[in-house]
Amino acid sequence: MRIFSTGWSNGFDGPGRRWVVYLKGCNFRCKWCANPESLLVDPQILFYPERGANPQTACPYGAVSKERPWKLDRTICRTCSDRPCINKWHNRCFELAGRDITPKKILTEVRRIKGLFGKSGGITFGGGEALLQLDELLETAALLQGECHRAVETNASSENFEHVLDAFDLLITDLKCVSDSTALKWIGAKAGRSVNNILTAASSGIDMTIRVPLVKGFNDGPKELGLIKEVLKDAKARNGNINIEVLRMHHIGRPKYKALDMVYNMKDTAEPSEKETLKFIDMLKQENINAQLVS
Amino acid sequence: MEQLMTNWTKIVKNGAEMVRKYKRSQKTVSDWFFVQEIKMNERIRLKASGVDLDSPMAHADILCAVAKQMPLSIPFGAVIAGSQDGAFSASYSLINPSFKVEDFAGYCDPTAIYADISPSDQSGLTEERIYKVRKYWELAPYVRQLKDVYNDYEDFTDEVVFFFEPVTGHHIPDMRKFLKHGIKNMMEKAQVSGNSYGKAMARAMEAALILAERYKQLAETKYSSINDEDEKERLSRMISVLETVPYNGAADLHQAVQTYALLWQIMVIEQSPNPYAISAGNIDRVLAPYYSPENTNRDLAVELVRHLLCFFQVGNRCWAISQNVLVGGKDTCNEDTTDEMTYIVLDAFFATNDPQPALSVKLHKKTPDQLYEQLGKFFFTPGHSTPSLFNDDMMFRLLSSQGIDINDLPDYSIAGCQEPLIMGKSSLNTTNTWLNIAKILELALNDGKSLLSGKQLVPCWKEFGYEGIKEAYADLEKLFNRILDYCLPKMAEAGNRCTKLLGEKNPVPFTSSLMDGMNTFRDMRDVEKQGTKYNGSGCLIHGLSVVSDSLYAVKEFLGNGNWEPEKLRNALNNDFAGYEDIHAFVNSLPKYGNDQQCVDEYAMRIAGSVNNAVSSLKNNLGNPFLADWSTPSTHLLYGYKVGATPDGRKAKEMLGYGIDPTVKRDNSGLAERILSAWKLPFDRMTGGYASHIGLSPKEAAGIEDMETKGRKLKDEVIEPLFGFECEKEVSPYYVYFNIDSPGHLRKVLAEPAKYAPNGIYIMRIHGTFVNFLDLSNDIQEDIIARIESGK
Repeated sequence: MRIFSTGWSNGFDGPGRRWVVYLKGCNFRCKWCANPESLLVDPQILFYPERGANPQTACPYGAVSKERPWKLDRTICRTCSDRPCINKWHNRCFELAGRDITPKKILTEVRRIKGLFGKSGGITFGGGEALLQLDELLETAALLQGECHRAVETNASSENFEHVLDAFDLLITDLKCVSDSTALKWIGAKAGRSVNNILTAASSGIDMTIRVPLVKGFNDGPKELGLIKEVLKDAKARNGNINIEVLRMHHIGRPKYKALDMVYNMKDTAEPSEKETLKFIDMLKQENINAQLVS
Repeated sequence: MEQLMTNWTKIVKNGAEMVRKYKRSQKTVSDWFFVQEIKMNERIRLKASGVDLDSPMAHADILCAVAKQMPLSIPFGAVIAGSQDGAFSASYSLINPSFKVEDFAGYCDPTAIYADISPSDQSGLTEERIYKVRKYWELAPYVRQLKDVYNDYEDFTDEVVFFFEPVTGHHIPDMRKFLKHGIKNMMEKAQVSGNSYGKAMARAMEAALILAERYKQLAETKYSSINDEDEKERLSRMISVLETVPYNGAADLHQAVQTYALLWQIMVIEQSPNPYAISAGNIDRVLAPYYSPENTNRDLAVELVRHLLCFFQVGNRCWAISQNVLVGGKDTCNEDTTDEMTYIVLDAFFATNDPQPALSVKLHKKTPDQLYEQLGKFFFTPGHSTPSLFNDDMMFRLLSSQGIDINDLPDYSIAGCQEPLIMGKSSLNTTNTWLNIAKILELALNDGKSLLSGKQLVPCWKEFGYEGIKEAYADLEKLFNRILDYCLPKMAEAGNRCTKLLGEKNPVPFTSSLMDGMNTFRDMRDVEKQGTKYNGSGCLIHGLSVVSDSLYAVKEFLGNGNWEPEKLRNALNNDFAGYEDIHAFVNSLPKYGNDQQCVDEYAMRIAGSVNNAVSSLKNNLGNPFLADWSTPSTHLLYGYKVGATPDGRKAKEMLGYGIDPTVKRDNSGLAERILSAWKLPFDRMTGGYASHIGLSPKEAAGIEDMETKGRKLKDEVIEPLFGFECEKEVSPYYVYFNIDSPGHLRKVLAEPAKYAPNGIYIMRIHGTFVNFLDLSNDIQEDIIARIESGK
């Protein structure tokens, strides 16, 4: 399994304290993505020359430019096997996104750390898009059965989506938009299969959280919000226990784009205000759909 | 609830507030001086009569003389008589706002306290009087011989390779038999022993009766001179209580708290001046037999306990520091012991919120949610005292492994910050020695010489068999352990000499009667034959994170860095000035506290080897020293005596607190920090350890009620940390929290009138509560830095 990071969250990616394993590789290209290092499958170096530790001395292969401003020649990084900048020099200007971990290793790690989960916590697989590595994901979920609470977060676009419904204790899905034209423009894929899969999951009875990321110019118009509302209504009708969360788009991931030499196209897009978001939540409430603002 | 409160309860409640106010207004503390003066006069008198001043009976006589002559007062509002004012001076550096790290010289001069008192017409204190008493004690054999001991080890103490002290206080009296049977009964038992020590104990107990009688007379005098009806009622009840106790056993809660206060007062007077860190143990269990809702309504019980809490305060800064009161815990069958008295004590504490005494709570797997819920308001009310927490499940295992009798386990309590002792049965001399392993490492890195002074403090590399720096640095951990082995016997020897001197010159027959003396008929300080069931000596160890991170850094420096060791030595000698590349390299290396095995394994090993080395030392009675990884703000002081270290820490910067990562080096988060801590050998930290977790109030954002917040803290932090859910054999057994934000604390400092209108904003430093506003800037900044760390 290729992951780009692991970390801890509390009461956000499932109940209680969670160990979150972030899988690398994604089939969507959401313009606001906060984890751009998750998009590609291959390992990548995030380069932060502003952190101060002289980065040039950390690379014996000449990947860092000789003069300021420091630039990273990624063609050299791609062929580098020992990564002395990180493994030898621990240089703070470099971070590696991308390493492999086996399901067995995850099991060993969970056994080591699960005392921190408390009564309700557990593991959450996020991404990237976790279902792109479905076989290993399912193998891991099976190994972890009985060990702890297991959650998976997905964009629900996989054609093999139904396999995860029996494998996890909690499904967290994004409902970004409903109309294909909007989806194609903003996330580089159609929305139809995601919507269908979300409704299938709702019918399955699995514990489920649907997250709606609110993004200005993308899904905050009356038409798209109306469509989202209808899908949520349908999902709620199939499973009244579904938890719905609304997240506001933010710019926290912006420095990572720079660190990856990627262009951040959302810099001129304002974050939705709390008031605007609560308005959407109120709209849902009128349809007896309770949603929470979580960020 | 208010309308249900009886009139007497209201009178007691109002009285508690008055006493509190009175204590907060006491800006000068000088009763201790009069006690020392009376002791001096009595010693002179006894000596003239040919009495051996070192004998227990002489000390019992002196105690009775003090009880007869010491100044007494009953503040307006009091319903119990008693005070600790005669035992404590206003001099404890760490809570003194004028404290400066660079000025601290250690507590090696017992007469330094005389510098803290000034002549005053009001109290009749003159320059001559102060001089005379000071001079007498300076020339007393105990002080002179103690000075000799310090002189013999000054090379080591000047730069704090280690430190040592004679230990007064730091124990937990068992009042239960006295409360139940009264002093009359206990005196008879002591006399019947026929043993000379038993007679001295009986004589010392007379002091409590003398004191009670004097307080009764004072109350009667006051009663006849005032018109306030409520005060008359309070005094009348006090007189009535004092007619019965402490001579007889207590029959109700009022009598019990009165007895408790008077016994405590005599105990601290006997050990004065400044017997810090005496703890009350599980006060809920001690007082529970005397609480009956039929005789004492619950509200009245809370107020009576508040009066007892007020008794512990000395002056406006609460100078009698590190007095711990515990509640909760389990019994030998692993069943929970919390009862109504537990919650009464908690309610009393919450209403009082003064810096002393400090509150600690014992927890275990079966602790009811109700207790966590009641703790919520302590943790999440800004500026309120927050209890330190103990893990009974692990503590029982730890103490059992030390040979503590299973029936004694529920009676473990803490003396001082977090050192576990058995109430009434342990004399563990807990702060006897202080070890600075960061300084030991400095000596290993610098050919046995101090980086700060250049003094040769231990043998050079050659004498340890190393050709030069290359060989020494390549074998650094082993060399560190060898220097440790060189220094530790000297430290133990110095500590033992202090202990012997204290025991020979200052027996404490009254205190010993509360400390197993009624079984052993020996003094608790006896260094020839053990006076308590359990005995040991403490060693407080400083510098775990700095040493672990540094040893790892040296390995990386020589290995991956492929640098010459001389370059590192030069960098350390120059405090990294001109060696910025090295500084950047070592700073970027993984540090303990982030769940990174490569460096955590050093912490595991160092903790293990130092535990073993300390535990192998023996005190005068042949009992082991106890490895105690606590650093009661001394991580600042000892850090000031250590040069730059290979982990990137600059010269004179603080060390890590207790077993915690170095401040701002645990950047991964709380979960990783806990995972790192789990790797440590807590089962061999026999003397205790310190650990602090700074949490943000945001942890419980969005939750309105305090009970739910308390449960959340339990579910998400306390239970996981203590391993209640995962059946771990070895897990942490102590922690304290400060739940606040650096930004908010800075606002409190900038605008105290707005954020702490009553002038009190309680925070915790190690085992004691402190008023954050009263602290020196150095300590305030340490608290803020540690709250910030790990975020």
